[in-house]
Amino acid sequence: MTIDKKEFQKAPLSSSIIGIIMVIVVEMMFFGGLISAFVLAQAGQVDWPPANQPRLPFWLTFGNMLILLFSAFTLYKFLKNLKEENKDKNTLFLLTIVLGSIFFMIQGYEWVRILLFGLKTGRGLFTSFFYTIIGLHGFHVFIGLILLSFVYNVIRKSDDIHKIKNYAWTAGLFWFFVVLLWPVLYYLIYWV
Amino acid sequence: MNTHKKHGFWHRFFFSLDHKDIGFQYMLTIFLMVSIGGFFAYVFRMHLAYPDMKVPLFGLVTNKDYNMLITNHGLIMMMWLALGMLLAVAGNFLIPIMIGTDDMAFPKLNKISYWFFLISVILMIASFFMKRGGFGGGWTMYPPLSVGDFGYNTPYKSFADRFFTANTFVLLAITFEFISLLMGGINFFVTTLNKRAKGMTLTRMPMTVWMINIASVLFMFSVGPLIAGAFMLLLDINVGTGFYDAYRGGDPLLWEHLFWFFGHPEVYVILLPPLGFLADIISNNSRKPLYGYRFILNLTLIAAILSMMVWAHHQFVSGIDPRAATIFSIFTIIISLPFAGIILAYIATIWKGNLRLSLPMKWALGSVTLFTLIGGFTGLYLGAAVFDIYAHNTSFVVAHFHYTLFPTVIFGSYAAFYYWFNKFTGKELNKFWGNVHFWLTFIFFNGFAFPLFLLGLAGQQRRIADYRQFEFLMQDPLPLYRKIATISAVILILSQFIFIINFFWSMKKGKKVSSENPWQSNTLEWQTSSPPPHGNFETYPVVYHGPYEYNHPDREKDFLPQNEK
Repeated sequence: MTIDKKEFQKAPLSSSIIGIIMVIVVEMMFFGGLISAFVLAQAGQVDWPPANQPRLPFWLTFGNMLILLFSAFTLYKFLKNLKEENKDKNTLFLLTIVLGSIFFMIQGYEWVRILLFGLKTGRGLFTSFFYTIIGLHGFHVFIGLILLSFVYNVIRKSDDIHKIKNYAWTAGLFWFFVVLLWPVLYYLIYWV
Repeated sequence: MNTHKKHGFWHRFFFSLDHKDIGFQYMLTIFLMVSIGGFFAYVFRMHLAYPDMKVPLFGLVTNKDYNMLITNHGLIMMMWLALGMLLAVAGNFLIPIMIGTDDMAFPKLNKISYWFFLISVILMIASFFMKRGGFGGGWTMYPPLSVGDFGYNTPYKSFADRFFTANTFVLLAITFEFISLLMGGINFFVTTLNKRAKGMTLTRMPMTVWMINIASVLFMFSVGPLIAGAFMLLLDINVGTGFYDAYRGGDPLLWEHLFWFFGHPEVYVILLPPLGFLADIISNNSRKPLYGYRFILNLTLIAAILSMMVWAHHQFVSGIDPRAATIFSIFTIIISLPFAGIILAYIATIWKGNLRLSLPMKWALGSVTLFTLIGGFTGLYLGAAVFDIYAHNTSFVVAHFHYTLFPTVIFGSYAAFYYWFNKFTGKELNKFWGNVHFWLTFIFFNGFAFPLFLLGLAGQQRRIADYRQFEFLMQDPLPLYRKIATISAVILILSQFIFIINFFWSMKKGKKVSSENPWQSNTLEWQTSSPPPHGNFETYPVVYHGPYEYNHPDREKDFLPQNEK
């Protein structure tokens, strides 16, 4: 059954974009809960991060953050240039996926190193929060990458510019959320 | 557009994409959960009135059993009955058809959301059968009770030992259920925004649609912190992170904040959909336009925002700062104002109306009366920290929240069942047994819940399995009150079988509906055949009026369907 759009009231935005905005609202409240728990826990401690345990890699992660931010920039450029005549130029979109994957892999490498240095869970609140929050963000990056790859496939195969725009913006909004969340987490966990 | 064809059992109950089928799947699943929750209530009420008796169908209730029973009764009724019935069932049945469309915006997501719901139900039921017994840490799951091996005496040995505990399973069940409700809520919201029939502007939508949507959005804004908290609790149980472990620098109060930041808005998530049904039913049965449509909407939005700022009134006895308690008290008392306004608007709708005391109207009036006069007013007392500190862990609170939840969730759902049953099945419910059901429920609900106020003020604690050690609780007339409450509760539970039998019997063998619009209602769902075909309408309707145009002076009929010029 095909639905003739003329049968309905005019829609403000496409369904999938409204859907993803709702998802982002939930995610913001979710990370808001984690972050406020973290900030409150931190406020109750004397030495933070606790002494006698491995430091977190400040500069490596800073560089990694720049990579992630750049991936958002390439995605933004791609979405801005998305018009009928240049819909085949999806290098920028591919670049976003590549940069995101690099971020993900560097994070994984970092985790392995930190674990080898002996920063294990069960040693206290700081490590618990570190692994929970950063792990959950990493999980969201992973989901975002899957979404982007799926959309990349659609972009390559489809000719319908409206469909491409819809898919790209839906995955893109989620990616923007994931990327813009990272500086906040970096500031709170690595910097302070 | 009508592609209706008969499908088999598996299709109808597992793979259907039709919103009415999915609503029906939800409904049956919830009936199962409610019968479990109701059975638990029966067992521990019997135990409270007759402590040494072997409860029929259960046996002797040990202290551990008692904890497990009240915990799971609360969890099932709050999470699966209230949220499930009022968001998932009502939203699925009513939203697409009331806004004049064929189905949800994302039918597949809708189906998946039911599957998640089913998984959550299975996990929840599985949690009763864990080696260490069902979860007994209270429905609010406060740590350290929900984290450790408290009361089990044998420490955990391995990861599997920790994972296969009722704590873990209950948390997983809740997580799955919330994912399901989130997908459902997104679906409702998107459907309402993007698939309304031509001419159905936002302020022409029936109140039910508005309320379910506001409730869904409120749910989305409040549920995040709870999911975060539940995730941390899962890690605490299974990995040993220690977020809530004071010994390792964590804070058990953190859970209470995260839980109630969701838990209090949830109360309004539960309250709003029944308020929507009541608006439709009261306006229809008073044959008058709903008083103050925009007024009610604005008040609801104000209440939704305020509801995010009152959560700590559940924690007055948990050791929060008394200065903070004052602020939360003030907000709690302020939030009763918008709801008072909404109830006043309903009373103004009834005022000088041409009343029809049909069954749904009886449930609606019962709901408004009990909710406002007893549930709402005792809420004002409890909102003030000075009183709450004395009443908090007594059955006064139990009576209060049963008087708020029962009239809204149960009476509201019944009003909706009796109102919309003939639309979705094409059959009529038996009126005589409907009346018997209503009066038994109304009388014995009061008989069950009102003595709890008196017991609570006399000092009966809320979560103590064996109160006989306290002599003051054994003095007359308290044992009598406990017996009245228990016997009423048993009759209340038994009288629900009248409805269940009436429901399924009428669905199979009931009288066919005489007309498609027996209540002479304006909203779109009554302007199609009963039961509606797959796709709901033969042709998409076009809307010209608001939903409450009853007794229009220029009209001969006393109603004016939304799709009639």
